[in-house]
Amino acid sequence: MEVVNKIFELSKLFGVSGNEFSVAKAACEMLKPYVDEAGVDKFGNCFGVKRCNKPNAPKILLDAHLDEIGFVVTEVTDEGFIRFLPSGVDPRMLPGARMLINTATGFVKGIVSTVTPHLTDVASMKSSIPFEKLFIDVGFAAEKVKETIKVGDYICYDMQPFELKGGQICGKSFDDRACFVTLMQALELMNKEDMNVDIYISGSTKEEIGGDGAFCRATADKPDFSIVVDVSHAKTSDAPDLETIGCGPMILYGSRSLTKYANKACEIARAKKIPYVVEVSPSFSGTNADEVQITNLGVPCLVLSLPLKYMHTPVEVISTSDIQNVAKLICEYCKAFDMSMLGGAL
Amino acid sequence: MKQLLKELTALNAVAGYEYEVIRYIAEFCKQYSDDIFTDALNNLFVFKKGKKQPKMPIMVAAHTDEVGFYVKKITEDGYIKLAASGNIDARVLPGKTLDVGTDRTRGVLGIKAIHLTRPEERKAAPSLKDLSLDTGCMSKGAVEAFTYVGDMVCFHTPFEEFGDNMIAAKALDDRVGCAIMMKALATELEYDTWFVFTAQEEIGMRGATVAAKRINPGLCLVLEGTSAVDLPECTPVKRSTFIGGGGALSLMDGGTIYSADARKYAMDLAKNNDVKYQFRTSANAVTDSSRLHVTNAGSKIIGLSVPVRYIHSPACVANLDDIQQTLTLAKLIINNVEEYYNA
Repeated sequence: MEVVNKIFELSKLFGVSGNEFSVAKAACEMLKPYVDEAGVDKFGNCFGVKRCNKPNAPKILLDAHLDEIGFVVTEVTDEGFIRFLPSGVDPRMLPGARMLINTATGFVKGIVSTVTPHLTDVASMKSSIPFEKLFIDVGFAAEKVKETIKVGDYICYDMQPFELKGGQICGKSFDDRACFVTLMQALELMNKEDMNVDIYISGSTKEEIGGDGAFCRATADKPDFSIVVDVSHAKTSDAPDLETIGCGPMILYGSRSLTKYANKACEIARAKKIPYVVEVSPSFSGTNADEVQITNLGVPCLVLSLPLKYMHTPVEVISTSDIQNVAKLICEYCKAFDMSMLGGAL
Repeated sequence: MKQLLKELTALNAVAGYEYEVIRYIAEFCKQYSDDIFTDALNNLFVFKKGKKQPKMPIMVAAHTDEVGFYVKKITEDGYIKLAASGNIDARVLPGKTLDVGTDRTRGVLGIKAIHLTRPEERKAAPSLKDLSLDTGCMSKGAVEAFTYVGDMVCFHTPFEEFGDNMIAAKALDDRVGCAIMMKALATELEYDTWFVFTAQEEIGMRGATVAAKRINPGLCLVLEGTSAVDLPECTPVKRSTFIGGGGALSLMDGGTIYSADARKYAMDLAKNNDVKYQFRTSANAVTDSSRLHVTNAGSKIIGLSVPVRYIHSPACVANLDDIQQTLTLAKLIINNVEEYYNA
């Protein structure tokens, strides 16, 4: 399946916030066939434009971020082990984790070291291991490690994506590269339609550390409206109160995704028989909409989410049916969009 | 050796499910051995004639099983609950993937996103009871199409070359011992030797308990992959063994006081032949030795282990030179056994 292949291709690439160059480049190449113009800006964002070639067409910015959560080297010990710091990671994910260190001379594979259970005192097994007690082993002698790996080198999980049963797939950085592929899927649908809007695409950088990439893209593109597409939590055995994966797009109601835009999304989904659920987050959305909304003189936003299990782990899981349904809703929303939807507060 | 370990660690065998491994080993050994058979516990016995018959039988042993899981329960909403087979610290499990059953349906042990946790939750270790294996199935029926309660579940860890002359793989405890035995029995031997690939070590040395009774050895050589905790903030005495130091001779552990004269025999052989060795400096853990040396009227016992980092976790790390040094010393011990018996 083409969509799965695209997600797998992007998922394998390194792209920790602040060092997204290789994933942005690959994303740009992938995007080119769907748009009139594509590139990577000086901030590292991948961008593209698909024009409808109609006068005064509204501009809609579709955003999904390309960066991933990761780690940074803080020390190389005399024994040749690596100390590191995380961003946005539960320390319980780390013992025994496979890591990829991005050094000046190439990638180095590592394993987060653990003490064998025979030599661990039973009482300590009740507590998780804090970051300061974790090291990465790269299997080289200390001198070679010191020569190769430097403080400040970025690290991501080393994880090859794979298919699960039931149309689900598993891998790292599906947050949010699966959504970038979803945008391309939406473009593919829109390219078969007679559109009345110009579509701007942003594969943004630095979302995981605050959305600076999307802020710059939205500032530059000056969209009339923006649909921010990110992942959101789906139900797992240890989080039973959430919506089940396969539920379709999650439509956000909140200050970043105003009710009138969310209502419109629900209305379109019902009319086009696209399954959906709604989510509520009154303030912070935890997506690029937090930034995009306050660019220039203000940008109205809609937040659509792809349901995902085990977020910010090397084993994020999504459903391919959800990707199709999110793409459909984006396409239909853009098709139905007109400027009269905006404003009207008085 | 690297290729052999790649193939051996690709096989799945938790205690009670040693079939893949013993079939592979038996196939390999066929051309080099004079007798091959298995017993009721799935111990695999391989007898190889040497140039001479020793005064008393020598038995070399390594276990075929690895730590892993059994399917304990399949929930209505399609999750698999697991029972551990062997000593596994559950802290190494979140974020790992496992292969279920002989068809190897892959599933994932996830934990909910950090955004959904409270700081105190993140400080507590996960327990196996709280973890659920997610194969993507959303109903009990969908899971029952490929597995059953009681089926085997193993770590999914492809073999990799790692760092400088190292390997990373699952089940190096004790496929590394099996591989050394296989390489040794593929060479011409001075003395008739019994190679026993034991079953069910990880859940209480059950194979070994019966295996030696059949052989009645004068000397047992037990080959293991043992803990190397040569990590920062770990004092030399606590590290047990270290990578790069060669095979580790056991002094004592939780089940065995190793024969001092047999250890001296091994040390002398190592010194005279420039083979690297070290001592296993911790007294933790119990191995097949504990059962083998008390068989019948008792046997002399040598514990010789390859230092392996992160045993009982999804990815173990060992050094190829250590493995080679251990193989060399094992062959020396076998090929000079009459000297030891005569001393």
